Amino acid sequence: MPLLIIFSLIIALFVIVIIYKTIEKPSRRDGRLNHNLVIDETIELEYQKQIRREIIAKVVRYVIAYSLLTVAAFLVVFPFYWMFATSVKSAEEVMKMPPTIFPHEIHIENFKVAMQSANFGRFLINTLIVGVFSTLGTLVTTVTSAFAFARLNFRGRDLLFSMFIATMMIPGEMMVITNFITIMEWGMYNTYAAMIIPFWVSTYYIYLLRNTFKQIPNELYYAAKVDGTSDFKYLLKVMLPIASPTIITITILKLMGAWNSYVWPNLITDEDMRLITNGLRGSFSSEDGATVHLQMAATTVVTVPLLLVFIFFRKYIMRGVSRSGIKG
Amino acid sequence: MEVKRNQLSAWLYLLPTIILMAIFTVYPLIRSFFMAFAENYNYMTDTWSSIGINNFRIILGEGSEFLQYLKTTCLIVIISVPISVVLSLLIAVGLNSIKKLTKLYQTIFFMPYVTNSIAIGMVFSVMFAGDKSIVNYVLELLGIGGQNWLGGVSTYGNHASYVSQMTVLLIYIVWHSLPFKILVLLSGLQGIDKQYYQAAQIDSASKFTVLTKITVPLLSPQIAFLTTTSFIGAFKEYSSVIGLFGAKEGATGGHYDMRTIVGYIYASLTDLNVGEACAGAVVLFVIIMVFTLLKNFISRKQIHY
Amino acid sequence: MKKLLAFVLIFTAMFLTVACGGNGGGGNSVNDIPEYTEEQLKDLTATVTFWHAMGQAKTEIIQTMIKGFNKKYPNITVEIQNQGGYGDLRDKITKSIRTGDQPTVAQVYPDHVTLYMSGNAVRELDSYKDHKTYGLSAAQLNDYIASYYAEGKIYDDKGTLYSIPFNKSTEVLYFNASWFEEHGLLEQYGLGTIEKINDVKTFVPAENAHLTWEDIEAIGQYYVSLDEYKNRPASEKIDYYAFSYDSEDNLFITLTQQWGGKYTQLTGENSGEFVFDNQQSRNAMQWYLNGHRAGYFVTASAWNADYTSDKFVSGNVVMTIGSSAGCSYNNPGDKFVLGVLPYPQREANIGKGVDGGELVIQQGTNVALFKCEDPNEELAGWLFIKYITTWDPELSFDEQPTAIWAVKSGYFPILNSLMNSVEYQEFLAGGDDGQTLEAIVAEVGYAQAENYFVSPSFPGTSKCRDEVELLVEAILYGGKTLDQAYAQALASLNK
Repeated sequence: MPLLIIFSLIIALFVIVIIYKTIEKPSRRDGRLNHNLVIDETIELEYQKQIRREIIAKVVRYVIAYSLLTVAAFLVVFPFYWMFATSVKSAEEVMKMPPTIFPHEIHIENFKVAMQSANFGRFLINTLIVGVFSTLGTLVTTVTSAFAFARLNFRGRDLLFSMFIATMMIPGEMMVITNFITIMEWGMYNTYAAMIIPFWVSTYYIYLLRNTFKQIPNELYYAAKVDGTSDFKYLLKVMLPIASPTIITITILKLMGAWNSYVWPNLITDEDMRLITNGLRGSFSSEDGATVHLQMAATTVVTVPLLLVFIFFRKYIMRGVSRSGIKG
Repeated sequence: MEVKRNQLSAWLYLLPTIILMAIFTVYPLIRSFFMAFAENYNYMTDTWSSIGINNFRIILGEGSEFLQYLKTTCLIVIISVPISVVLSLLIAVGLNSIKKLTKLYQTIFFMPYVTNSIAIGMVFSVMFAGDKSIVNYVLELLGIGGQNWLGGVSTYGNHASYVSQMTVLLIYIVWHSLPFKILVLLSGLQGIDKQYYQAAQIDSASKFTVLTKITVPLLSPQIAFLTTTSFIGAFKEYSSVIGLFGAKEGATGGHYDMRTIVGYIYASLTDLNVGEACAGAVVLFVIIMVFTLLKNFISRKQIHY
Repeated sequence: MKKLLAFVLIFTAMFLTVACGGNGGGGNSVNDIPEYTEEQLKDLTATVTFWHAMGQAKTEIIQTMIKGFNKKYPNITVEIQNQGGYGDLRDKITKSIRTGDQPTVAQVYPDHVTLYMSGNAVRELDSYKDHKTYGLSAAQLNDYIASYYAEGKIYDDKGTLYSIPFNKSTEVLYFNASWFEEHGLLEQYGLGTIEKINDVKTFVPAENAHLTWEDIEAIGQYYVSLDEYKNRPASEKIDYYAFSYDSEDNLFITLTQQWGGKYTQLTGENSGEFVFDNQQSRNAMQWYLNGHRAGYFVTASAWNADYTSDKFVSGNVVMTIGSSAGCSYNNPGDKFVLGVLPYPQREANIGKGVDGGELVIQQGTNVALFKCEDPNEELAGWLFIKYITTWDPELSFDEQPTAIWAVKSGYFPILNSLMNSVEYQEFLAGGDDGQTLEAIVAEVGYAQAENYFVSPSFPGTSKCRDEVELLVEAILYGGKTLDQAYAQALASLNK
């Protein structure tokens, strides 16, 4: 119970400080305004009353907005906090009742134990290999096809493009089954290639990059043509640099995809070839109290890089996400 | 001559993409459709007895397990989508009305998006599972009383009911799906002409009236887009179940209580029931097709508006 | 509209293309066995692949056996591959059958064999077994422990041989002897003295010592009547049980039959029916459920775990039934004195034999031969199977492949000659330090060998095991009635 009181006090304090800071400025400006416009005392009085009413309404609105947002933010952040907190607790502390909100002791060695018990080093290398090569391949196909769709005129372009877009709405599960068989028949079971090559094309990224390419003025292209620059050189020297923010977005989202992929590697690989998320769910499947802290340590190891990438590349990630209609 | 060369080079640029798409998208799609109709398909010998609708009869027949999983999936869709849309609307309006710390709040609210759904599912299961979990502790403090959320022996009864399992799953799904919606709605809000609000202020309309009469109608394209896309997303829910419950896809003592359509497809595939897996995938395909057409229909209308 | 039409047309065309290809892919044909003389056999050149699921440590034991094999057949190369767990091994083999890359020899459970047979990939062994040059002599055939050998012939009503026994284990009862001593239960149930159990590290308390299910129930009732238990808060009680079972499927299958019911039965070649929904089975489950409700019976799933060993070693559980092959996990070290007993029977069944319900499950895998394109590879595979599963009079005990395997791996001997050999008996008796836990468990296992049962295997038996596991969980932890749980299991199986 004291815990709850402390929490609500902190939140209340927080809200008050923010509101104070927010409403300070306009009221001072209003005051100056009044000073210059003194005409009639009654009007002045009436005016001040109205201002006071407005300020109160504003305060109430801010209190509501900030409290709502703060409570929601707390609920969003709490699972992350709980993961970090549990990951450094000892096995005994995890089982304590009541649960300890702040870890009494910090057990950094949990991370080491978790990494060793699950062959995480190997999974990490696998994930990086798969992530890098599938991203490279995707960039090649995305850039060339986006260029063709955006810049080149050829018969059937619009039909082909709409067919590409149409594939975006097909659930991946339709493809997984046969792709699994294809990979088996090609003898690619348990190889990096099996986790890389099927993901070399992404119609969403083609769509994204084509739209970026389209925004580049035609004049540049014709000027380059007059100069005798080849299409390919133009693509490399002019279009790619201009579209680099989108390229970065695609790279980050693709790498994050590899980091988070679970289903396909689970089907197509075993043991040593699995990726980091498979290792996570497979190695700590038991919810037995004895391993909860290790489980959370491994989860932290998987989550922290994602959060770091997000903090540094926030702009790029949001740009890509806000245009996608597939994820939700 | 120039045009022809251009034609050829265009196809050359597209060649790698087209080949890969043909192998990994178009062929599998058609093949899966076909195998959904292949009866008694034997994976090991790649043979089938006949072509017909038997697989569909099995999965859609009376009392079939698939229907149970379909029900679970529909419950997830029907409950999680409205809740997450309303919550994200409230948060987006809140974010839009404040001036300080906007960046901080935006960053926080977007955090769930960049997480691994299996990993954070495991965190949620730690938060809920067992008598000593933090959620049960807080519920006890508040005098509401704990629950056996995820199964296993417990003083709250050994059995985690369907409702309590579903509650945890829905909380997790909503938590995980908020960021994308907030992002879309916020950019929608920022695009609304300020004149509307100024007019409302002159009429001294209440905040609630402003929200329901101005904000929501003006945001209707975004809300419609979000609703249809999240319907599609929720029908494909799977990794959140694995994260939360592991391979049992539900609490101990249940019969894959939280298994979804996609969960069924993968389980059948693992059991080498390829025909039924494909039939399940076709059903999912049809459902998603309907919502996609609906989405396109709505957005086309919006453009004219 | 035109676009849509084009799309539909292309789609239909490709659909038809896909539909036309593929069908009619035939099964693998059966090779004639190539004929060689004994002399020619020594020069037989082939590569045999052997897939197993025994983990890294036991891979090395298998390598030792291969060295011996190569002394006899220097030109046959044996490549072994560790495929992870049994489930992984099965999945890997089914995948490989599709592409024709199956191993020559692999470890198999009976339900795996049934599965591979539907892929037309398993070689019947009768023609090899009866072959005049490479076959097995009558003495060799009789040397296999009968119940193990019988497992290779359960696939059809003709009794065609498809596998040969390889690694065998059973279930035994582990108990906390220190706790028993503390409460005077060792004496009460005639289990001997703690000194005897501890001093010579024999683990087995006394000659013919055993606990019946009735005894275990009584001990459970005693356990929950203790003040120590009663005074625990409710939140701790759920962490303390007198008895826990590792495998719910084994619990169901064994108890159903001990209570006089049936589990599955063959109805013809490669087909059978699931007959576990009977009154006897329900009685057994009701009995276990009552014990669970009273607070003394549980299974490992209660803690979302596969094994009880953690809770047993920590003292939260005082009796547990687990695989003999997993004995090292139940070894508490210095925490308390461990005892091992045969699998419990019902009081009324004792002395009645398998048909009278006195039974215990026989576990572990066999080895099977897969159809090969190259007849020489197939023959070499058979020679390898024969080598690792028979007694070779020309070799000393230390060179015997079956002896190397049994002594080092902790699995039970598959041959009577090995079991009865002086050297193996010495191994069981142990040296100056007393017996090893592995040796004791082997002895307990062998003592109950005449009560072994194996369930027949036919398509669906693998799924049936999964379903009865869920059934037990549904009764104990799912709040389902017996009616609901049995109905659910049958509905899932018979869809």
